[in-house]
Amino acid sequence: MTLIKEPDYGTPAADSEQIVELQIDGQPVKVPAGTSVMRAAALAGFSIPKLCATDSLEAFGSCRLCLVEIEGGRGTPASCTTPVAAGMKVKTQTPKLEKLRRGVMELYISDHPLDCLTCPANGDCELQDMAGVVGLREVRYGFDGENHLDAPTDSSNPYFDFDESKCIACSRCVRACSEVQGTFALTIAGRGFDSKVSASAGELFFSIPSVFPAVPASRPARPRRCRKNRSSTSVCRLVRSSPLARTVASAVPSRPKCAATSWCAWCRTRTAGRTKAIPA
Amino acid sequence: MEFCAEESCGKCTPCRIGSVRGVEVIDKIIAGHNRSQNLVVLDDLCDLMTDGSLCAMGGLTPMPVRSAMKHFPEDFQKLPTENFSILDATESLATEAGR
Repeated sequence: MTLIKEPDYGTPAADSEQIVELQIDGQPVKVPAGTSVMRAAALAGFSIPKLCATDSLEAFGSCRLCLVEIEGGRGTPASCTTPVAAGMKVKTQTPKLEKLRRGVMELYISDHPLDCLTCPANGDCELQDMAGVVGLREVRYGFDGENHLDAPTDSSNPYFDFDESKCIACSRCVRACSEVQGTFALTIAGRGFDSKVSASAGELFFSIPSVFPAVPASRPARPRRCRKNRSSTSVCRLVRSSPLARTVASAVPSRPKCAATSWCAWCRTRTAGRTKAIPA
Repeated sequence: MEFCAEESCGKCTPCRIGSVRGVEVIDKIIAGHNRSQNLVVLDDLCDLMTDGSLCAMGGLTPMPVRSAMKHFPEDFQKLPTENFSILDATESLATEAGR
């Protein structure tokens, strides 16, 4: 049950006719002005680790995995939020960056369940991929610190469970909801370590069905059509089905339509939550 | 670190999770758990927060920590290594001051 992975350039294409030339890891790259360093690198074939960026949403810069070094520039800016400039010399792989990226992953995993082997997202999980990419081998903080591992799962929605302990608070779902769907149904409740994806203040996910961005309550995903790998909803066009069980295994939004490919609590919920099997 | 954990907006990871872990690591150092190893972890965390944070809130949080480690290294070494309780230490200091 593998998903065809579409290439993700990290940030949307820039709409400009002016071409800027820069160097990424010593290789000359030409991209339209306004393109992000991340997208320029991806177009040139360099893959910069990322979690919160995806090319159907504006850059956000929250995960801090995509840090790069720019010659003559101060510090290590996030490549998703940094636009290209003429003559820029970018380094995407240095020992310093490797250490920073590993440190970020170490923090993420210090507050994440270690149940990969039994997790429904196993094998198709960006967090897992990135932990491998940055070479995370140990979490020196231990797992006895403050965490969300025992956070209750919100099962109020008929189509998915929202498992807060697995959410990395990247805000992709929140941004998809406002930027793509325009429904503004989701928000981050709380602040700092208490940040939590929620449907308005303290509400359960099914308590305000009229604002469902992915699977509107009035137009529920229809298993009959889902089994043919096409859903009737505007968003979930690609639906994985399990032919044996005759149930919808998980619903994955088509990326041009919805950005929340991996973390959305609403549309996909594979890592942030588990998709429920819908009886055919 | 405690201040940062309290004030963090939660957008970026180094500040959101890092500040909470920072408090915990410093607590472990004070309590004498794996002190030398935890000092390395704290140093790495300070690097990460300085270079990796989105804004100056997380970026400058390591400043006082680094300052304390640099100018008062003995404070990170001298404290009792076993069964240390910050409450007992404060009480004993208060008693001494009372004398």
